Amino acid sequence: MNPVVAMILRRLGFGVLVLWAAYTLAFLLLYALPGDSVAAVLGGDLSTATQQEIDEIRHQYGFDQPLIVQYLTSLGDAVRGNLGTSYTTGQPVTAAIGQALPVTIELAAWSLLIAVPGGILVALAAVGARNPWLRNLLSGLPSVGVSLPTFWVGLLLLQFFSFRLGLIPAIGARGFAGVILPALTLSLPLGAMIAQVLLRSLTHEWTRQFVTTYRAAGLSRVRLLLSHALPPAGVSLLSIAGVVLGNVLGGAVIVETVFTRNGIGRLAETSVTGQDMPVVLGVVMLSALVFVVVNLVVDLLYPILDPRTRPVQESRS
Amino acid sequence: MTATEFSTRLEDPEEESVGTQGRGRRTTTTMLRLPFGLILSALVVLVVLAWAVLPSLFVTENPLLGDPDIRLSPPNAHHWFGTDHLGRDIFSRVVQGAGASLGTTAIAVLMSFVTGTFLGLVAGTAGRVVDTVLMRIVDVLQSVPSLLLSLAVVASLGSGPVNIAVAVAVASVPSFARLMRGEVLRWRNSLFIEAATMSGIRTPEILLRHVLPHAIGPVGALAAIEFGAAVLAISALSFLGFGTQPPDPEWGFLISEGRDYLASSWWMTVIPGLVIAGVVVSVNRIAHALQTERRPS
Amino acid sequence: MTPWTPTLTRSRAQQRTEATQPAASGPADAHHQEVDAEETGRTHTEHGTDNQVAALTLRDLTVRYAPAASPAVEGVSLTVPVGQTLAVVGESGSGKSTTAAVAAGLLPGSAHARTAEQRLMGQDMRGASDKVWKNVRGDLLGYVPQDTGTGLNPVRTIASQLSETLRAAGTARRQAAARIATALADVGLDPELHGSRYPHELSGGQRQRVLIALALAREPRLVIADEPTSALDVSAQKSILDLLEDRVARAGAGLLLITHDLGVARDRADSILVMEKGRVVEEGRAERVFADPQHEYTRRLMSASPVVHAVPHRKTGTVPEGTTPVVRAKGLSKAFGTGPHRVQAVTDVDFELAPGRTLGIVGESGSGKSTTARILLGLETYDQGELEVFGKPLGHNRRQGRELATRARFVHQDPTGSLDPKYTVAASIGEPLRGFRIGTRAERAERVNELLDLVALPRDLAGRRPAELSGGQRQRVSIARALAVDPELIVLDEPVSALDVSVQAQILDLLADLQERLGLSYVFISHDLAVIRQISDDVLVMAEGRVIESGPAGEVFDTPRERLTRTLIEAVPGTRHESGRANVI
Repeated sequence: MNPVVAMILRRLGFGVLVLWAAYTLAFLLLYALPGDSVAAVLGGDLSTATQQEIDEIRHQYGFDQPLIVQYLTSLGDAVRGNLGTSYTTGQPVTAAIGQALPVTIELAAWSLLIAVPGGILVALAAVGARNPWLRNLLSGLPSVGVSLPTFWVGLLLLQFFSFRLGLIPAIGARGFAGVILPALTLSLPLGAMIAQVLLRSLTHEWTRQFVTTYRAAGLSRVRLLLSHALPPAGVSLLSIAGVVLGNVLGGAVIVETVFTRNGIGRLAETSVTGQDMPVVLGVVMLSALVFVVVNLVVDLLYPILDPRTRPVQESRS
Repeated sequence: MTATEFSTRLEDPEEESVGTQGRGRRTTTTMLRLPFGLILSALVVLVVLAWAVLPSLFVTENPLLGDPDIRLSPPNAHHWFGTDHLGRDIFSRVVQGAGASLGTTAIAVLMSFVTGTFLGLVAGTAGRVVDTVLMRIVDVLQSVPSLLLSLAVVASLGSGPVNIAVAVAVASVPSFARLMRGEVLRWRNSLFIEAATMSGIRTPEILLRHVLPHAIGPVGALAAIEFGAAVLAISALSFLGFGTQPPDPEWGFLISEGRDYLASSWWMTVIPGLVIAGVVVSVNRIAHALQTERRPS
Repeated sequence: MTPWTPTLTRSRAQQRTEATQPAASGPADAHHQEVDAEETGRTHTEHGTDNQVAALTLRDLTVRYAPAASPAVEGVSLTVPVGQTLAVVGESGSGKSTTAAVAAGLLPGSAHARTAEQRLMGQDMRGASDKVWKNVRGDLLGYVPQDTGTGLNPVRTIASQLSETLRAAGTARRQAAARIATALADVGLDPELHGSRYPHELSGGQRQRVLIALALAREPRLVIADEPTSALDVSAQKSILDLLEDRVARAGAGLLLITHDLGVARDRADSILVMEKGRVVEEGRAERVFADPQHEYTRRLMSASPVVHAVPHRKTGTVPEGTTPVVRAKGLSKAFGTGPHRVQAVTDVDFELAPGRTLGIVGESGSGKSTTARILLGLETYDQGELEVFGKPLGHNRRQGRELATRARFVHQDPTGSLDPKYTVAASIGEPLRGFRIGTRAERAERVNELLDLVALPRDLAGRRPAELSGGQRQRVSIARALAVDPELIVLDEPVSALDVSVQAQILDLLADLQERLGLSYVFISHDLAVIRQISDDVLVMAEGRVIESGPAGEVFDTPRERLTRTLIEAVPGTRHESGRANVI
């Protein structure tokens, strides 16, 4: 078989394995521990329900079955694309996710559009600046960026732009005006993380001998940075692509709550509050899927971007 | 070009000057040369730790008791951080909240530290099968973003300070496990461990006397980083309402209280947030210093 | 290797050499000597004195890495005339590389350099800005770094890296392609084949060739080469130095050659400058320095840096009949990996080692010498053959038993890596005693003191950690550790190759002395023929996993039977003068 195809198949198989394991762990976590799911279905209050109602719910959701049977049934459904129905709204989980997803994708797209170039620029400037004072300042920025509480940054932006300046309505803005503040908020930790990783590997490459070689050959500082330090350092960004996109989903929980946007993050937050296990499980699986797909793509990109990871060329001499 | 390149690649000036004067002199000079930012960070952490341990020494008012006459007053000489919607002194609430925030954080980091390093040690030393199984589980845990993972744990356990500590701990177990395993593998193949094996030293003793002393540095630095991350995660979960129950102050919760008065009373959100950010920046600065301190050896 | 392709540049280079060489010999006339038009554009003799235009002049250079630190370089002055080679020789810490960094404008910003004069082809470079430096680089100044594997950008092809450099200097794209082809051909590489490769697809020698091509692509007037061959095997070393010499001569440039190897300096330099601890201790014409060294340090360096033919090999007695050999190997073979990745590391190796004698195993990297050594101690298994240690067969796949572990010990190449940085000297030396549960705590402490005496380390070093020791001291500690359990056999894997030559000599003396006093048998692995000749009774020359020649040391070195052995001996730096090929380039 073609080695590339074999590699892709192996990676795909591994991805499916990770998804299965994530499903199993999440299922165990959410269903095996003693929590009262019936109460969750009834909105947290058991006192008004009759025993008959309770039994009915137990039967309807399969709580009367042994755990292993529940697990196998739900796994079988999940494989066929059915993630069950929400305890609180009765809506199919896939539909709920489908509804929320575009909102989050819009947010993710904008914030990545800000974070990726922003992070790269800051890292480049931090290494490239001649002035040592400026260099120190810039290299300190990313670690401050990752240290700020996201929800707090969101509130500050809201306070400043909506209440102080009145530029953007606090709630209910549509289109660009509605997404810009949440996107800025989310892009801060993402950009800072990108800058941090890139800065670290740029600094590492910058001290390597080939930079001296080319400096001694007469290349300018900018050229050394862009064409010699950046390409090998940029490869390190690939390895965190999965984590960055994961953080988009994680950050969305906070940002969508702060800015009241009905995306995946908000869905996660409300379902956790209501102990709506099928929805929680669905969101967890969505994030695992994103992670698996991103890493699959990254694995395929590596050999294209980094010749060192390619199989060694046959000696032609 | 930076200084590190030359000091490592060109002659090491210390190489020759290694004489009898060596040791004592070096420690005193490094003490004096600590950067200002690091000293400031250490001060911030010490002050906040003092708040957490002995809040009564610092609070100026009863953090739970409000005075309706002075509701929503901005920062002033009496109320450094202003007052909230019930007229409670925010400075005192922040001081009081340090215990809840940092206590929960400490529990979370301790749990993940113990579990993670133990798993890493086992994975690094036990056979291939155990290693593979453990590391695949770690892979899976890392495939879900940490905040979502924590939320799933909260969904299962319910809210409350201890539960969110567990939730945050679960999410940071993978990094400890990975680092510890990496350290074991890294030192395991080193020449001095080969020399120790040839000198008849058995595996448990090698782990205890050769590997652990080397691993403790990087793992300690990671613990510091994870502490910073856990402060953020705990405050985020509290902000979302899964942490302490009112009226107990906790930093994230203080900010969520301020959210409703965002338009009129900025200090209710800004100031507790600054405290969180200050603590996390300081802890990260210290972690960074720990990491760079260890790297050359 | 492809022979150099003659190019148009050749005649120009020669013209230049002709134009500048008389200047080097007759200082009084230098001012009137006409240099070609291109050169006068570049140089300006501001003072209008009789000073000839040297490629490089440094006067009274002092460098500190921190304001309060003691100087890394102090009061160094040197001149590299155009068309000549100046070798700066010194051990690590001598300041030779710092001096080169100043000359190349590559000193890090945190370091402080002061000079009374610094000129590059007459141009004042004191306090020159980055921009000034950038303009002279490539054009006036070429720099060849040591290839530690990272001298070239790992993610770009050789051709694209060369092309960028040329184009940054203003060469048009189409011309650049042609110039790259010439530049690569000039250093013996195939532009088609090697140009499209990535650095990791080339050998160390090939990468070093690329670095030379890069430095010389624009025919600079001064080439600074900082240890250009110390990462290479001797045979690769020789061809790289030949190449560098040839290219520099053709460009008519001056060469500042930084090296720790006196042999290299002797073979290649017109003048020599010996540095110790940041100061120049001796300088002069190469012949004079070698014939009549003035400074005590130079003499010490020279006696410590053995030149193969000059070293008397040891007086070897005969082994009495019927002695049981310490080690007997027959048909030893070992392969690593499986399937297509299978590499035969050791093939069909036979040898014997009699008690109290030293077996030297010599070969270049990848020759299988280290694997052979590790098999002896059960650190590696072997696939085929017979192996007896102390008269008992050592099984194919069994790790060494405890008893054997105390009778046969191993000393690693790298004392820095083989000592736990967190252990004190006493803890490291005492570790085998602890491991094999020998003696009480007090007895062990006493034994550690004895061992320190034995390896001539002061007892008060016992509490130090490896970072606080010098390289030589560290290797003494690891020898002491090997001696702790009174072994009969010690296998030493390149025990001195990480050390400076003068320290090397001391360690070799120590080993010889210990052998005599304790009746030890040694298996001594080294790539360095001079070292092997000095210490061995019997020699095994290995290449590509096989023994190509073996026998008593004297025989193998004086009358080598195999061509490969002869090549190895001739490639050793410092041998050109003995082999009657002196001054032949």
